[in-house]
Amino acid sequence: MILESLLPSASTYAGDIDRLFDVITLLVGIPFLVASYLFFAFIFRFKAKDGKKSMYITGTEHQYMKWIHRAHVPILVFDVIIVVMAVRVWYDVKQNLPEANSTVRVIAQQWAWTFVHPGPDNVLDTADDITTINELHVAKDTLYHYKLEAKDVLHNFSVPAFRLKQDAIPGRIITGWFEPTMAGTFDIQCAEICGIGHGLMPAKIIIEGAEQHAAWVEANSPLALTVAANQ
Amino acid sequence: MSWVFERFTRSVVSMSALCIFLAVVASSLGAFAASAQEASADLAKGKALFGLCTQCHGTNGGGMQAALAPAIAGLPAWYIEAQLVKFKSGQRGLHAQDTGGLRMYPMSRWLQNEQEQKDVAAYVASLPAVAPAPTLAQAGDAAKGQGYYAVCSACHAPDGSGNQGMGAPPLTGLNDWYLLTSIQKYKKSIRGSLPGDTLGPAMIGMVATLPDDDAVLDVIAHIQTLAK
Repeated sequence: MILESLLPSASTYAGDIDRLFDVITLLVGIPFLVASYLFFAFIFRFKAKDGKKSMYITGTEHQYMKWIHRAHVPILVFDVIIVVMAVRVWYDVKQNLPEANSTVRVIAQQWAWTFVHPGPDNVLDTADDITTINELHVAKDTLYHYKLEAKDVLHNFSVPAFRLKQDAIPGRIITGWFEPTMAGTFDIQCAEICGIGHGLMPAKIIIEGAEQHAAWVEANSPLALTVAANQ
Repeated sequence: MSWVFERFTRSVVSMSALCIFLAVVASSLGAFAASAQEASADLAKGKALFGLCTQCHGTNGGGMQAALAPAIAGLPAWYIEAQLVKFKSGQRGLHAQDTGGLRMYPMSRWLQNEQEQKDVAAYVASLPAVAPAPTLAQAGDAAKGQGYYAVCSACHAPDGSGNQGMGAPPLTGLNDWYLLTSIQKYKKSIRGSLPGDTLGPAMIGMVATLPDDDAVLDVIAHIQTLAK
């Protein structure tokens, strides 16, 4: 609700993450406002007054300590709610790996992104793969696996519209997933400081309908480009 | 009444001619002023802009192999400027296997306009050339390389000083590792094959005259013997 008003929600799990964000904001934000109000209200209400001696509280009397103990109860309850919700979302986004309709390779380097898309055969690492720089093409309502690599240093594959962030680590191929739910062009950014050009490596994810995406794949496959060049 | 019409016509023609003349003079002066302004590069601004480049190319422009950044100090301004244009427009570097080139793509976009490209190119050209140390583990045979270099000399000149008219940069004073990776990139069409690169395809053809890896090392060894 809060995030979605600022940024489109374009993946199947973006809504779950937004909901978690809202719950945390409310569970932490409301007590924070109440506590802040009481803090300043008590400062003004019980400020030093001439002829009035302050009371010394040792911190052991139940009648005073109960106000602290009682506050612990909602904190513990809220913590449990947040942890349970967060673990469920984490499992769904990071631990669970649903079966994919297609797979793309994402390669990060200082300071650019290389994306390898499967060609018309929809199989990665074959001769008809389509390689692009700083531009990832995907189809709406299609579940993708991504194989994330880094050539040099730590990077982070961040797609704010998907609420997706995943570190890219040199020497490792990290597999994750996403399913776009909204057509359009959205930002891809590196969310891990990776050197002097970190701020200069933006990319785009272009989400199209299935037919449009198939047409793009057909037109950009190496075979199609070779035929076009020879004509 | 005819003399009135004739005089009116003559004055209109005269005024029109005068206006055209003034317009031509004004536009010529404007074009001259613009070209004079365009031609002048601001070294101080170029030095300030070069601050970003120093992160990889070093403060003296001597390059840093670990950052895949070659020595550029003292290279001609026209070549530096042309490469910045190529990097920015995606004619060079925008290839998935060109790791070094992809690092330059965003850097070139840091320069906002042609004047900034000109300024930084002029500053790089003003830097004293640095003699890079040899880095290749296996040295080639310079004598054999001289034979292979005959093809290169047609554009890069027998003494490796380059030829602006041909768009061929000087080859002297370049890092041996940079020469090696550049030739390898041309051989694999990683460099020179991007849309809009008019000179690159010629280099792809030229490096094809080097039959094997030894020949590549030989020609690099010969280039290294050419004085800066």
